[in-house]
Amino acid sequence: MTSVVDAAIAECLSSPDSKYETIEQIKDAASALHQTHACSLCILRFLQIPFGPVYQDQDTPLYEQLGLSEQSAEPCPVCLGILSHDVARQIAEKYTSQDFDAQQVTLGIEVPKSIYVRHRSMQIFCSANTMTQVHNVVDVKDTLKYLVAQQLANHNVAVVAECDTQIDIAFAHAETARDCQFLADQTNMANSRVAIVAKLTACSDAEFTAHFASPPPLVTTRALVTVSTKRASIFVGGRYLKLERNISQTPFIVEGRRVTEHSVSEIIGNPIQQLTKCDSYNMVGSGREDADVRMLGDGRPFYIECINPRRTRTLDEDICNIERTLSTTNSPVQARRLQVIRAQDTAIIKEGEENKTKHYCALVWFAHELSQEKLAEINDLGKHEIVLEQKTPVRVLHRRAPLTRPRKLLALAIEHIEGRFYRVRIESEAGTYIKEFVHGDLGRTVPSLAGLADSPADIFELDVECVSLDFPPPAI
Amino acid sequence: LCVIGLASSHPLLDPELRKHIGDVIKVEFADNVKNSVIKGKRKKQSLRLMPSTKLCTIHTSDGKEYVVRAAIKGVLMEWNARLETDPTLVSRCPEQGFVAIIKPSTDDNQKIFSDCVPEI
Repeated sequence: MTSVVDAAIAECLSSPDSKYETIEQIKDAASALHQTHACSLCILRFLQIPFGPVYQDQDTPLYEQLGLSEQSAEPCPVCLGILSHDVARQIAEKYTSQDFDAQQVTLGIEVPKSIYVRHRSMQIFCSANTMTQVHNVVDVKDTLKYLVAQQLANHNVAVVAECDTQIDIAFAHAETARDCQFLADQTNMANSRVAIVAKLTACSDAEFTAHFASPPPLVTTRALVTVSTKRASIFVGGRYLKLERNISQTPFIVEGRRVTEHSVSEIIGNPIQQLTKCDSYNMVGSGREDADVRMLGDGRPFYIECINPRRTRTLDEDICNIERTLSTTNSPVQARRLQVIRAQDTAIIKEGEENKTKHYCALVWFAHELSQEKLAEINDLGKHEIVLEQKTPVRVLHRRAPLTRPRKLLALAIEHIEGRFYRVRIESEAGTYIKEFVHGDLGRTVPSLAGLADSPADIFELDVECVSLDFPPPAI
Repeated sequence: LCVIGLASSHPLLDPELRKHIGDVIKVEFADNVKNSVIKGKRKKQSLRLMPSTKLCTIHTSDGKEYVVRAAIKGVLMEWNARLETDPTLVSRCPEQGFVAIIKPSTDDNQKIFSDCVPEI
């Protein structure tokens, strides 16, 4: 009955990379490596045995199959205990516990710097005592990736070179922290990994063994592993409507208390967070309106970035449901064209904020009723472009730089409603302070509606009727 | 922020009294106010003001002078340069004729107005 090892050895012998020609040679080499207290997996690596069932967790321990005496319980001085089926299982479990709906994952592995030093040490030993082509030895990181991939395969997850989901694996080994010190001393660069590896390549075998033992010295502790998982953000874009007043765009908290009970980001973001099971989200809108201003018409473009989402596939129908639910339950904040978008589609939101015009409708009060002539005069003026010079409004002066900004009104129309109340429609350039245009802000916005009407004026209600940026593409 | 201007009980805002004291002919801002640097979001270099700091002197056609002081402790955000070219604005239209805008050095309303009295 051929053992797994025998099959692997046979395969190895037939490989062109290997200098081994007989089973005996391989078994002798295995025995020599075993003397160094290296673990079975490291022995396989330094015998240049390719990946296969022999590397996987088996009932009969490898050393037994190779006909060697029992392994010591001490951690392997070459891989410091990194290559272990238990460690691989631990890593796989950490990943599956997160419940990502991904079918592919990428592994990022960081090993202690001493691994490189000990690898070189073992290479030197190998050249002296075995027939292994030391430059073709199986890499330790690749081996760990293989072990983890085997574990993940049980959960239908494939390991690939690049994808949106990542497992970061970091090993630390305090006991051998000083191993690479002799190399660091030679360079005046910091203890960086790149510098150490470069120095190792430049170092000759003789130089190396003068500072570090070959085979590598034994260790008593295993390397400690830290596993973290992350996934690329997913973006949900759309347009939001605000049908009631006193709702801020994002939670508005001053001195620990909420100023507005609700916020657009929470009303739309919370259901999306529940759906994608992300850690957190942020909302980015193409501009914003005051909490006491409604956003009507087709809404204002925005996107929500979901951080570290657990669920990213087949979201379309559920996203449509969120939009529909907000609408049918007459939520004060609703969404339109809600859909998953690509990361690169988000740039247009900020571009539109600067360039696109907005349409407003305001309820304005004047101290004196306006005559018909005055109304006609203002409406005529409003048919042409009006250029405003706006000093930073007093109400935001505490948090914005004091500047005078020129802004254009592209259209202005006023009509009488009743008494001293008038309806004013405005189309303006992005970044125009509408409230300040109406009351004049102590004469710091000129011209102003109060100035044009020759009467103090104030704004009672303001609605944004249209934000002219076409985003996202209309729902199918 | 606080906007500083003439109180409604100020003699300059009473047309009857103006017959005796004269009309406003000039508003002269203090040098440190005119030379102040108010730049950027944080306005770090802005002029620090105490309640007694003089902001400007208002001159009338009869030679009378009225000094307007900061009245609160804080930092200068803006002084009304329009009063230099149109001084009568200060008595004609107290709102557009404000003198200065000050950022109080504390958020506590009680402390801000500790040196002030309410209008009757």
